[in-house]
Amino acid sequence: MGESAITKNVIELDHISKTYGDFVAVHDANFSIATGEFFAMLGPSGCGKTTTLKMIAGFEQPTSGRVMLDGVDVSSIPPYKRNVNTVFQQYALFPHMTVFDNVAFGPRSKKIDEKKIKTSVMEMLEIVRLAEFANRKPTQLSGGQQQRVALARALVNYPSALLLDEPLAALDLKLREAMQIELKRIQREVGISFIFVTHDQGEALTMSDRIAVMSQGHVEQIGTPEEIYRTPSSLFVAGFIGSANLLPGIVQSRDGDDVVVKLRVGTTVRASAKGAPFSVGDKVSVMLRPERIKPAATVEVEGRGIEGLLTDLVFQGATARLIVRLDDGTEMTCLADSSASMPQIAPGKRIAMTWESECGFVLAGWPDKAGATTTDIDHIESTL
Amino acid sequence: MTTGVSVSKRIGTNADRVGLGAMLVAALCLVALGAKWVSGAASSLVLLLLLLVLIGVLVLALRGGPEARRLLAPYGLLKPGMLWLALFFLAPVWSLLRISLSTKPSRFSVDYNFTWAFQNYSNAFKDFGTQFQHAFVYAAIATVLTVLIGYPLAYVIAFRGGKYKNILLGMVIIPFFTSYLIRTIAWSTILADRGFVVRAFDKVGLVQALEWMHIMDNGKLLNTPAAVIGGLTYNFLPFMLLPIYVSLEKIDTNLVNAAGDLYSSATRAFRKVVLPLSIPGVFAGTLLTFIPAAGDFVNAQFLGNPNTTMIGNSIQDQFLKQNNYPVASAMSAVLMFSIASLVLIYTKIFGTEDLA
Repeated sequence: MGESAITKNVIELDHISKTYGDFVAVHDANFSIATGEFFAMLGPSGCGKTTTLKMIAGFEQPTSGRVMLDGVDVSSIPPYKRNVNTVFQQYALFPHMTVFDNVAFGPRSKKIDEKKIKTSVMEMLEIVRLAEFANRKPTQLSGGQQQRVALARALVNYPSALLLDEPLAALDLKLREAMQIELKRIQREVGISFIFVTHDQGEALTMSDRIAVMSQGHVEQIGTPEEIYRTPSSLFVAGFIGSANLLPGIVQSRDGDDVVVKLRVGTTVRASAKGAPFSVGDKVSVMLRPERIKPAATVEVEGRGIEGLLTDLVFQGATARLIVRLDDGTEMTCLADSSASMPQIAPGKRIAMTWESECGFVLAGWPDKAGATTTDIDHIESTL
Repeated sequence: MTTGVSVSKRIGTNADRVGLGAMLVAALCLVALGAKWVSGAASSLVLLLLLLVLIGVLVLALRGGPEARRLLAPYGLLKPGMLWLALFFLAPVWSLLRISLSTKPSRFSVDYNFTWAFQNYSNAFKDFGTQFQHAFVYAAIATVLTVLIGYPLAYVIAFRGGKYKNILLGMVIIPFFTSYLIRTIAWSTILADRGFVVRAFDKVGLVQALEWMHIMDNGKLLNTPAAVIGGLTYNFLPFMLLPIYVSLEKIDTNLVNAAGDLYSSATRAFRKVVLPLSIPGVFAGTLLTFIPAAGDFVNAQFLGNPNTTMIGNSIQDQFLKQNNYPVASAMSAVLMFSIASLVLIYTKIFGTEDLA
């Protein structure tokens, strides 16, 4: 693995923006995607992720900025001349063609020798495990199989990058989880960059090498799943990725990388600021992931805990979910190891929630709804 | 009363067969009445039988319980349509076929004797071969023209219409709210010898070219085969346009995007994706256009000349002016069967059950 292999970018978005009249769909997106990378664009609907994908595919032209593909500016080149392929949200398989003809569509457009097409199509159907369905019509396949036909149809062209627009959204939960693993396997096998649009943070965290979190046309943060989960750049990212307790407060003093925050509820806590330039008096929020908090009888280390009333304790198997109401009414969630003994802990009692020094993370601003944004809406939606 | 109960129970569980039987008997009664298989007292009896059957089924439905009603329901729903067809389609077709094989005892007789007179058919072919030919050739050309005009129009409305879709469709359809006859007569005014179209052609110097192409004849546009075909094309355009529009409208634009994404130019995407998916519409359109156009007599009457008469005109003439019902019936039967067989062949060749 040379340095060049890592730094070689398939796609470079050079400050692209897209506006429709007054509406800004994408504002100044500026990032690159490396060869062989599994890259996710994550955000709620209407955040501009699909528009960005369409600009890479060529179905939309950027209002300003450039799209570079393999180092060449393709901003004004139509889709059929770009060496990228798309897996559409509803697959868009050609209903009047067999699976084989669907997959062979791209190579036939390129006027490749029919014999070569036959081998490469069958090879690709082999990879997606659909070889025995070559002569079926798409309507005779299940959702997951159609999905794999769409993948094969795109990958058979060996594009520089594969664009996937919410490819798993139409599948049920079980199938979606199976396809996540399948997608990852196929991506490793063919070694092509996958650019993946999703509104499901779980999906993005599981599959991607890097994630771009988008909101209202802006790229909020780009990083590995771990970076984004541990050190989100904004309240939005913290709330959107996983669950987070966001406690509003004011910076009281600085201590190296840490800051001391006086929470609105009255308690003073220490939390990491990762060198962000906060000054005394700034409105900030302390982010605490529910699984990093431990229940205890009292706060033992000054600044590493907070007390409140335990209102609910839900046994969830490996974990137990504790809901604690702080004195200002804010609700906090804590995911504790259910095998740990918690003798004094019962709903209605006053308990402490404690954490290690690196667990609290300071973010600028206060959340709209003060307190915890702990609900993973997508997960709930997907299980309904 | 036990036997009565068990009998009604047995009828109840076999209500579907009873329903089917009752429907067929009722239909047969209506054909018998409509086609005059019976007359006088016998027809009253048939009418009575019809009423009894209908009332019987009604009683069974009311008294037979939910199971019987469930079994009877499909036949109950089929009955209005079946009886309508029996009286207004089967009975007339029967009469038509019967008269087509009948002879008139004398020239001024109003009655016909059924004599297996197959010469009616040979006469129809011998005397009206040209008219048959005109009917099929003109209808075929008009059908091709409606495809050539209708398809691009439907395509633009379906894919480029945007929010004006309905307005554009309305502009195509609204003229057809006026009477067929009036629109055709309006065409004869438009194409008239001193009308602005002929004068415009004259001014531009197109007349010679159009005469060479057999569109104009002797400096005239009206009363030519081209005018008849033009009229047919105009009058049947919506029947072509609407089915094509519906099948194009259904196509997911992402399919076109996908074709583009898979390195297809717009032309190839159209050829390989849009066209095959819209073929069912074209198929339906050609049937809806060709069938009525082949039997049409209005366009040939108002826009043609004595040498462009179509079979529809001849049938009308034989029925209404010559009062020669047997030959007219034979011609109608031939027209009916030849259209039916043409459609069958066409369906066999271009059948579209594969394209669901």
